[in-house]
Amino acid sequence: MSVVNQAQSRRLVAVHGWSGTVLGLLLYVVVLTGAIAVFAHEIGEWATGGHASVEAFAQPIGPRLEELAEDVKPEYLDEVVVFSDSAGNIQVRFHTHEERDGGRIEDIGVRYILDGNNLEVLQRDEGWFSELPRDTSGALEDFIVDVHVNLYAPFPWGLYATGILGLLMLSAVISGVLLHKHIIKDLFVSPRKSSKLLFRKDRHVLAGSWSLPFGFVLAFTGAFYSFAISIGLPVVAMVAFGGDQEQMIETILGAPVPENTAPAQLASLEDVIADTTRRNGAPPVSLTVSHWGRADAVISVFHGPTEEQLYGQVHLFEGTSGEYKGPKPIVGTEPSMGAAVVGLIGPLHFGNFGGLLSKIVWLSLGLACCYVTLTGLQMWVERRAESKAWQRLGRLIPIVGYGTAISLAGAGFGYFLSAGGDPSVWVTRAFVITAVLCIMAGYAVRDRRLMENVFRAALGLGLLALPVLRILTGGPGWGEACGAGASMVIGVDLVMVIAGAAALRSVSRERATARSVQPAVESAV
Amino acid sequence: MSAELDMKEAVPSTKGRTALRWILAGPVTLIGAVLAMAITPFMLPAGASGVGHLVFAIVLFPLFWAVLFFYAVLTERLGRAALVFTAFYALSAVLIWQAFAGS
Repeated sequence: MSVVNQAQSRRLVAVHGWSGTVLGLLLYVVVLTGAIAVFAHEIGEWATGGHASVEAFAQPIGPRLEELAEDVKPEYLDEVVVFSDSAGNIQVRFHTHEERDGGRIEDIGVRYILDGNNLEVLQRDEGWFSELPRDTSGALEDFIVDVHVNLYAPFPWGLYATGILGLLMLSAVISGVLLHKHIIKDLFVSPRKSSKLLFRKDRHVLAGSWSLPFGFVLAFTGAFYSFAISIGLPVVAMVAFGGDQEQMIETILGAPVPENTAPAQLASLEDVIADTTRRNGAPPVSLTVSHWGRADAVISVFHGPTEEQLYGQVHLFEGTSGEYKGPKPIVGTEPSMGAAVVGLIGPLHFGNFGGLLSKIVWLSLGLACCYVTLTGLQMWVERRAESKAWQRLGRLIPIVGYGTAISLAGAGFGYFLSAGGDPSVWVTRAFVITAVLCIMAGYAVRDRRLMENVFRAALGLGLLALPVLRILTGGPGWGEACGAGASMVIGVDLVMVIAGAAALRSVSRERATARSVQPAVESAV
Repeated sequence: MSAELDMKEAVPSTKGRTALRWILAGPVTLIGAVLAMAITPFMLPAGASGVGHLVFAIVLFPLFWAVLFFYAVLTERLGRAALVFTAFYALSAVLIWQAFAGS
C-alpha cells in the first residue's frame, strides 16, 4: 500500500528518475569504484606480488627503530608512525606538524620503507609528506580509493561532489521505497519476457528491491564520510565551542599529556606489542609513538576488527614504562554511545567486519547497485526515444558503464608497465588514456549491440591479460606465490580470469543469439 | 502510464511553483541541513564522554537533509513550507548567535 497520494507519487517518480539521470553516471562511477575498493588492499597486495602474510610487528622492530631515530632531526621524533604496506614492507614515518605558507598544518619529516623480512632500508625520503615520492607499492589501491572518495578531484571539492552524490543516492533509495506499492512482492518478481522494456524494468525492480537496504546504508554512511570532515566537523566545532579549537580538540581527542621534555628511554616495543596482541586477540595493524625519547612519550597501538569486535580499537601505553593505560575510544576519552556509532559506520561502509565473506557480500551488493543505476538510466532513456538529447545520454550509458571497468583494468596495465617510472603517475595516465579510447570507440561504432560487444570483449581480454602481464613484469608465478604463502595473488588472478572469461562468453552468447534471431526475422519477412 | 505523462503531471501548474519547489528542495534544504547539524549539539545531551551531542549532530546530517528534502518535494503547501524554512533559519541563527555571544 502506497503511503503517498497520486500527485505526490508523480513528484516522487520525477525525483527518482531525475536524481538517477542527472548525476546517475557519476554515481555509477563512485559506486563501482567503491565496490572494487572493498578489496583495494587485496588488489594492492596482488599488484605488488603479495607477501607471505607478513605481520608488521612479528619481528623485533624496537632496536631497528632506535637506530633509525638517531639518523633523523630531533624535531621529527615528535611522532613516529609504523605500519605494514601492501607489499609487506614496513613503513616508518618520523615527523612533526608544521604550518606551511598557506597556513595549513602539514606533516614534515622522514619516511623509511623497510624490507618486511629483514628490516633493511629500501628507501629513505625527507621533506613535506605531501611532496614525497608516492608510495609506489600502494599506487593501484590508492588510485582506486581516490577515485571513489574524491573522484580524483582536489580537497575539499572531491568530497563535496561525492557527498552530493551520496545524498542523491539517498533520495533515489527513499523515493524508491515510497513508490513501492508491493515491496515484499517485488522481492520475488519474475521478469516478464513479453517485451524488452518490461523485462528490463522487472529486473531493475528485482535488483533494486534486494539492494534497497544496502543502498540506504551505503548512501547514508558515504554522505557522512564525505561531509563529516569537509563540513560537519568544522561547523559543529565552530558552533559548539564558539570557535575555540583547543577546547574542541581536548573534548574529541582528550587532554594532552602534561609536557615533560626530559630525555627518557622508550619502553620495549616488543613487550608492548606482545601485551596488546594478547589483549586484543590479534596483532596490531599500526603503531604510533608520540614524543619519542622523552619522559612524556605515549604509545598508541591500532587494531583492526576481530571476531569479537566489529570495529577497530586503539590501546594506549605509557611510553617509558610500557604500562597499559586502557583502550582509547575513536572519539572522546571514555567509551560512549557516540564513539560506538562512529566506530560502526566504518564496517557498515567498508564491509570489513566479517573478513573475506562480508567483503564478498559487500562487493556483490555494490555491483547490484551499479546494475540498478545503469538499468534505471537505460529505461528512462528508452521511454524518451523521440528526444535527441536523451538519446545522446543513452549513448553514454554503455560508454561509462563498460568504460569505467575497462579503464580500471587499464590502470592495472599502467601499474605493471611503469618499469623505471612512477607507478602512481602511470596508473593515472593509463586510466585516462583507456577512458579516452573507450569514449572514441563508443562514438565510432554506431551500432549499439556491436559497441557493447566490443566493450565486453575489451573488458574480457583486459582482465585475462592482467595476470599474465603481472607475471611477465616480474611478479611471482602461481608456484612461487603458493610456496611463499601469498594466496591472495592466486585468488585475485583467478577472479580476473573467471570475470574475463565470463565477459568473453557473454559476447559469444550474444552473437549466437543474434545469429539465431536473424534468419527467423528474414523468413518472417 | 508512460513516464512522459508522469513527468508532465508531476510538474506543478505554474512555473513559479516549480521554481519555488526547486529552490526549497535544493539550496534551501542543503543550507537547512547544515544549520540543523550546527544547532543539534545544543539540544542533545553530551553523554558519558562529552561527545555524544557532537557525534550525533554530524552522523545525522544525511537524515536532516533527507527529511527537509522530502518535505519540500511532497508538500502541497509551498507557501507554508517557505515560512517553515524561514522560521527554522531564524531560530538557528538566534541559537548560533547566542553560542558565539556566550563564548
